[in-house]
Amino acid sequence: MRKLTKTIPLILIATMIAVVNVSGSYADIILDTAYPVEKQSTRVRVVADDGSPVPNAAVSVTYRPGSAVPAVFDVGRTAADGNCEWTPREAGIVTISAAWVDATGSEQITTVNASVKYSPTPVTGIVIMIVAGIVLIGGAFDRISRLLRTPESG
Amino acid sequence: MSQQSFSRGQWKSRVGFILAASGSAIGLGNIVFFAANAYKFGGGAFYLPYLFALFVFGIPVMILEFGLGNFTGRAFPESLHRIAGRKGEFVGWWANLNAGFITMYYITILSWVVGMLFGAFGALWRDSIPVPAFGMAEGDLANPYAYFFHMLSTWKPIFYVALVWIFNVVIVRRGAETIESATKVFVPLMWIFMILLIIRGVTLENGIQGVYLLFTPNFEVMKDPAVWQGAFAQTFFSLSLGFGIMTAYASYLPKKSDLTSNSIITSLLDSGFAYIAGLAVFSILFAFAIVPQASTIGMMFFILPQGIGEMPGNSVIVFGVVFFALLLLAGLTSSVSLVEALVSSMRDKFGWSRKRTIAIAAVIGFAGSAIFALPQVVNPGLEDDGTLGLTLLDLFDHWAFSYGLLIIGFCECILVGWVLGADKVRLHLNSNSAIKLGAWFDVLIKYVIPLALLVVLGYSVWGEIRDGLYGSAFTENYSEGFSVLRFAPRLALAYWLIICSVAALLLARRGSFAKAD
Repeated sequence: MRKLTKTIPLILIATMIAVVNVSGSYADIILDTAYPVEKQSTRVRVVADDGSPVPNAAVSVTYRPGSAVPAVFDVGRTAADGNCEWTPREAGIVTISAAWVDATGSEQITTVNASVKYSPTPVTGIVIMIVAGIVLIGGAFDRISRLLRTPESG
Repeated sequence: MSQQSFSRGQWKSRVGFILAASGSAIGLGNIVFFAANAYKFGGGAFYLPYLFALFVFGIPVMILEFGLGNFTGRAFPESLHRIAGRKGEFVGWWANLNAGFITMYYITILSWVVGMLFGAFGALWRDSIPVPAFGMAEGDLANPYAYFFHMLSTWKPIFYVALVWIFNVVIVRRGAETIESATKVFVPLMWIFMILLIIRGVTLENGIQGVYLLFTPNFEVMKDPAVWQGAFAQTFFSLSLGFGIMTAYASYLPKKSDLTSNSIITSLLDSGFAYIAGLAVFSILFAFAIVPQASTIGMMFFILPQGIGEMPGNSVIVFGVVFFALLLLAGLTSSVSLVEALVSSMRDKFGWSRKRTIAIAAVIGFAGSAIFALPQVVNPGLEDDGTLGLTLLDLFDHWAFSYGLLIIGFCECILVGWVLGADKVRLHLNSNSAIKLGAWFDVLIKYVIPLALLVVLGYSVWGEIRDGLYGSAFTENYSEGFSVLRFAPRLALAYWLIICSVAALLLARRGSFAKAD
């Protein structure tokens, strides 16, 4: 068994969803590619609900969100067509945020998550996966097979 | 006091024992929490402190608990009584009572799993449902959050709690015999369900990239002591140590069992299951760009269902049902071990019939679990835990899990290492084990592990001092009529400490133990 709760931050997420839905989403962040690739440039578009571009929105990306080592980097501001270029620094699940001041003068923020693909395939990760698999799964089955070969009860 | 005799029973086969012990260790958290914790602490980099902690900390304590149960042939309180008299027994009962709190809310969580399992056949996958108790119309709160909080705000979970307690009673009714029969079906099914989820996960578009994400290391985080603290605590919690479960289970083994191998197998199966679960979890999360959260409840009820909800067509229902059925099986194999640890301790002490002991445990347990399922909405805005039951669960989990288990681990190392002598247990273990433990085992039990536990506990206590008592930060948002809950963090701590300590004291002072046949 394991640590079960620490529920509070999660319920805050629920609240955020509630708030967004209550007020109505003001704008969306749209990526050119569903799965951007690390170190390869892609286009981020910020568009309002009516489909019009949102210019001058400050776009930032949080790498490793929700981890002990999140890192936030500014991407830049959207041009008049609502676009800006983004080159992902690293792979993983990221949170892209856009902040701007609307016509009424109030600040708006919208976010979206994206999965950034590895390029090239991360060798270190695969090595760790294999080693951990051999130690944990391989180790367990090796001990089970040895134990079952011995004439012991229990 | 009673000197009645009773039959303790025995495992019918070592495969049955291994399945039962691994089933106990593999719980809800293995499926979702380990991978999320690894992500939090640097992905692949977390495996280094985790494997270190597993081998120098988790497996030795597992060996110790198995050794203790088999050496004495009794459950935790009597095992410790034989080492250190009434003081030892006090620790044993304290552990059982602390585990009693955990059993109660663990079964409540399982009752929510049952509710979500029903939802997985349909309602859970709608975009949203109204949550009137929280004042939310349809669309205000998206699913799976809406379904979950709507369920929590009704009395249905009390019915599910009763259902889960009935499952537990049926499974433990004849002790090792019926537990073994159930786990022989449940544990292989868990592995099959998990493999199905892995296959689905990695075959999703770019699902394999999620696997890379889980294992690719970020060594930057290794400098943070919290990572090492997290790895040590993770190992301890993961292996069901400090509950008295493994001692109770090992007491049903024949004296000539290879306990060291059994301990290693149980530990590796537990960690191995968490490892393969990570493959499924991360492939699904990456495919749908969902950020993991280091929380079992959050991952089980919100994050993973959100990912499954994105799957195409009818596979949503299929994999949703598989996921919650997997959680239910994993939870049941753990909860029966918790119930059995309590039942075996009470029978050792009082010599009651199994039927009577189970009935008493189930009635008290059901009442406690029902409290954690109370549906009153204490926080309509959901800034905090939402319902009364969930708020209480959150608080008691913090103390019973984060502190209780580690305190017991520390005490058992001191009692075995210093009072009995770690070498005596080691000699008993070595007499029938293929792997012979060296004097290093004594050093680990006497010095290294207690010190590590003290450091982890000290780090946690420092956190309470620095940030305020756990829960005190979310006391300002209670709705009218529940403002008394602002005292809940202190009351929960006091209640947990007083109940465990006073009841353990009374039990330890009361008479001798019954004789087993």
